[in-house]
Amino acid sequence: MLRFLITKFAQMIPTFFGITVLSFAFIRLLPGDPATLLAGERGVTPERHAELMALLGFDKPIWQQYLLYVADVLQGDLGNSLVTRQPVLEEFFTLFPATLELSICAMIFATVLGLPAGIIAAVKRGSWFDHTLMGSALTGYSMPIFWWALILIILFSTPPLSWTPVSGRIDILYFFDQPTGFMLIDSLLSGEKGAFWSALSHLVLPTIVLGTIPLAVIARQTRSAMLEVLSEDYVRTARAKGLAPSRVIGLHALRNALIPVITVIGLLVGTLLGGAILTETIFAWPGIGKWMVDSISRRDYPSVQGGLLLIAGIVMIVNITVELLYGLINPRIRYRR
Amino acid sequence: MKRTLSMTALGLIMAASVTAAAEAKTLVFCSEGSPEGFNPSLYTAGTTFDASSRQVFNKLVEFTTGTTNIEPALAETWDVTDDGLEYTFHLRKGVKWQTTENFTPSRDFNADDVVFSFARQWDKNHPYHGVSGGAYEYFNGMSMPDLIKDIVKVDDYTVKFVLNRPEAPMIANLAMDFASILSAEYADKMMEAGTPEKVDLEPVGTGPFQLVAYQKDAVIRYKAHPAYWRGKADIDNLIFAITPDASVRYQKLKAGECHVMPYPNPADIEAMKADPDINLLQQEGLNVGYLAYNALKPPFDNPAVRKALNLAINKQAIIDGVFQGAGKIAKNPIPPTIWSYNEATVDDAYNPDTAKALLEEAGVTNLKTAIWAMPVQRPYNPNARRMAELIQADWAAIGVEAEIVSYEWGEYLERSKSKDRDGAVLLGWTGDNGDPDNFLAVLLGCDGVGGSNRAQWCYKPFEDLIQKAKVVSDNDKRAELYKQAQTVFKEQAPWATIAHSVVFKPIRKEVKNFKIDPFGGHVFYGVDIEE
Amino acid sequence: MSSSDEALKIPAAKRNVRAERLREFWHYFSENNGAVAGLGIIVLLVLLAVFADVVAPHSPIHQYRGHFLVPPVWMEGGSWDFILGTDAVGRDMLSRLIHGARYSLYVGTVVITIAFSAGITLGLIAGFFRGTVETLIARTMDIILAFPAILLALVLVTILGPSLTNAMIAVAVVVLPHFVRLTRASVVSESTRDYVTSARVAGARLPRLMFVTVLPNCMAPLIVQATLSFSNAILGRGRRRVPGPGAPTPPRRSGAPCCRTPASSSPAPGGW
Repeated sequence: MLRFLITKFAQMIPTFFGITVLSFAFIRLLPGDPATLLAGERGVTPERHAELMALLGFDKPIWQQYLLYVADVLQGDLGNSLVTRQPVLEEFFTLFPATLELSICAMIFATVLGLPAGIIAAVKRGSWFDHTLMGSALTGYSMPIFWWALILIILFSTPPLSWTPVSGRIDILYFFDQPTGFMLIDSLLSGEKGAFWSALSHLVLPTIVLGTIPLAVIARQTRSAMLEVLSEDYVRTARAKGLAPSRVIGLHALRNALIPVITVIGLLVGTLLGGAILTETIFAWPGIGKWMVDSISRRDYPSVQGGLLLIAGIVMIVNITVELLYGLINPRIRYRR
Repeated sequence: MKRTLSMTALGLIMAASVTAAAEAKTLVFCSEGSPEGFNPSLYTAGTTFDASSRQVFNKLVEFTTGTTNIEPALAETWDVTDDGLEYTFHLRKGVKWQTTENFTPSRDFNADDVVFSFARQWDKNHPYHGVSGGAYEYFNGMSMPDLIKDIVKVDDYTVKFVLNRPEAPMIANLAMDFASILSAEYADKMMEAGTPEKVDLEPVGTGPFQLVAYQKDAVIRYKAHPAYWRGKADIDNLIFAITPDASVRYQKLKAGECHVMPYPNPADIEAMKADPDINLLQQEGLNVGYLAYNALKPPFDNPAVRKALNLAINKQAIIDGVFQGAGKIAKNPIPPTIWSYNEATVDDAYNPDTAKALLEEAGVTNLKTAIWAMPVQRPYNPNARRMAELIQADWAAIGVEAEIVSYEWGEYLERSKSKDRDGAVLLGWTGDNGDPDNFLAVLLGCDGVGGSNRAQWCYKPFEDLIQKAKVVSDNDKRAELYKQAQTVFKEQAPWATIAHSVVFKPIRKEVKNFKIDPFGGHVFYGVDIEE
Repeated sequence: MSSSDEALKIPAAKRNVRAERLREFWHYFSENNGAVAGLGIIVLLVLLAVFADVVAPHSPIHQYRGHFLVPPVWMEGGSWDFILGTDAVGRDMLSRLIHGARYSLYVGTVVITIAFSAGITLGLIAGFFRGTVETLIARTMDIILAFPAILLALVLVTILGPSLTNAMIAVAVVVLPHFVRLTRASVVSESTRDYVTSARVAGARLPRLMFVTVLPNCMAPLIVQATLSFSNAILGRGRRRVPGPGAPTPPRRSGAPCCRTPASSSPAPGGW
């Protein structure tokens, strides 16, 4: 197990190296550069443009820029944003807790509802529950996020219902220090009356919106995996032996059905942690998805490079966790290197 | 980035308890994005100016809120020498700086602050010049480095600007956001402390509101500056709730989560008009949306061809379909709210038959070209792609085949500058300072070819007129020259002038005295809330 | 049915078995009302797409200048001329939808075919070959996953040039990791099973083990993923509506995707 972890983490090093090369190259491959975007419609003269690029340190030969960048990264310095002039690392980690908090809530929502729904649908295959569930899962998955979010807001956040707030992470009048960046925790720590409920109510709609697609995926994958497993000989044997159905489903079937389900959950978590641009934009959620896209469109090279590196690290950690889980669920799968 | 300036003290005032919030008047503005920083001279985005110069800072002269007229601000009066080369400003006395967590001013505003604010941008050897990146794009864009010969402190309350050449729009330029006055004393202190960049992140100004806290992509908090020289603001707290999506901003406004919102969706306008809780303010914007041909590329180097294509465009259909009525047909390259607007100009009336005949006369057949449509919503063009589709159909009717081209915004700006660009490009402009020079010279002057002059159009008679108007100090004479320039423009038709948009500003009905800023900004001094 | 049986079948009987299976499949399929209804809808959509020129009441691109934003027929002011109304430049919505089906089905099919086949192949290779090959594939997928779809799409289209084909390739690359990872996970889990071992012992060679023995048993999650990704590809998940300077849209020339509503035609998946 320890060896497994060590080799996995060792493998991350060349991957990180690959990410530095690709992110460095990709963002520069796009036409337009920070100086052009700064000037906007006004445009800049070629001389001023060269001057600006020199000011930003982009006048050196490209290989030299890359080496300087890698040298900085190795020292733990991801550089400063070209726009805000703040350290990229600091910007990332002030925004990341918001993304993490929302992703966790969305995944809990999706798993808690999706897993049992998928199991029931598989066990009662062909029933009205099965049909309704699979139909709504497909509808949920095909839902344009933007439209879905706006419908929910119009229904639940504006008069006459006004059950949930429209957007943001907490009522704007609450003003306290945020040591952890997780609003649910910080609101409790603050000791302000009602702050926690305010934070919680702000999470409801974003969680539903962000959790809808994962919910559909998990429900469908669980159902299909369960169907597969339920028709296997050993499950039939277990049933024939007179084991209680719940025990058959819970112990034998589910365990083996979990491999594809866990894989998709891992994929979904990885994707969500990279930021959810639409959900963040709609709910004014200060996460890293919108930050990344803004950085790309402003050609904020250091932010894009640094952000990609950090997101890649997170995605890989999620993957390693998923592989550990494979082994836990099915001990016959050995940890592979 | 999360920054908490004076958490404890202000936290008590603004926080939590509903009663406290009811006693202190708090205005919430659902702004559209995060500011890039808090020093307006470093940036060019309106969002940044809203968060900095328009609340925290003052300038020597300012635009009267809601107009393009200049009024005295930190400078009470000014004199200009007859040759137009020396501007002497007499500064206001008794103007207090804001007191923040890490700065307590020991003196009032004076000439040192003015010299510091401009010298930082102008003098490459100034210790602050390179701080925070050191790109002063507006200062450069307004040609200030070449223009200014010297900035002299005459005495504590008199500053003299010496110019290299006469520049008629100088005073208007000084009312722009980049000319905000920062505290020299604060700058010195921060330099001593080894943290000069704090000047640009935790601003200290003389303006009506001071920054309390900023959380990136979430919220900006201000409180009223108690000793503001025009008198303390009517509201006690000003909060920007950053809400990037226009439809959601409207929902927030409806739900009472904010009082004022910028940039509504055109599709929501009708519903806003009908909503009893919302006042929908509107004003003609200081902007122009245009379609610029490439005057260097045949057959578009021929004015007759450009004119023909202009005649083929049904602008009324564009106003109806793209602006949904919230726009006005443009006939001149400057909006009608700017002085020197030429009322006498006759627009190219929609006439496909004449257009066809003109094209034939010019010997142009089977013309194939492109229409560039930008991918973003801009104040002067709510939906460029739709506009391009309409023009495409109009041109098809006279036998001109146009392909619609679109690139991601950064790429679009870059590629559209190219001198050998194929096709006509949709773009526009929002005025910076209400001076016609800011439209005509920037967008159509010979210097802008390969840059901001997307028509790549350099025409001697026009250039002579606008260059002359730049140095004449008499306003009537300037207006006359600009009117002539507009006539020349119309004859030569380097653009199809499309529309001036109407700017809408939905506010909740309890908000009083809010005025639409023609420059697209949001000014909250003077605004009040009636419960 | 389990694949270990299949591995032992005699080739001569294969044809008969196929026909038999097909009949059996149809028998079970036709018993499922939901499935039959689904098939009906798909057939209808395909027919609509194929015969769009005949079926659609109007041209999808003709602008009826006097008829901007006509409401649908069941609303006040609607008319049977434009059953679903018109858009802001006077184009008939119904006709645009019908013509759009053509484009949607095409994009969906192509994207999924590319991603599905490439993903399965890579996933099988990663699952069967250990060592460097697996690491290489797995880490490459990590990198693709980490990159925001918008950046990948922008860069791919910048390199390959803007066209519908290239946009589809870009979308396929973005959804690829899901297929690879799912295949690999199933392979890893399946290859510990007895039937694989017995096939191995029986002397099955690697390609046969990969594609005939193991793959059919990995298909369930992949098929679910493929159906879901189909809608993903069509929706162009990730279409952004961010205001102000900073709304990135992949560069795209008009012409090809002429027939979709303007608000949802740029292919850049992955956002939510």
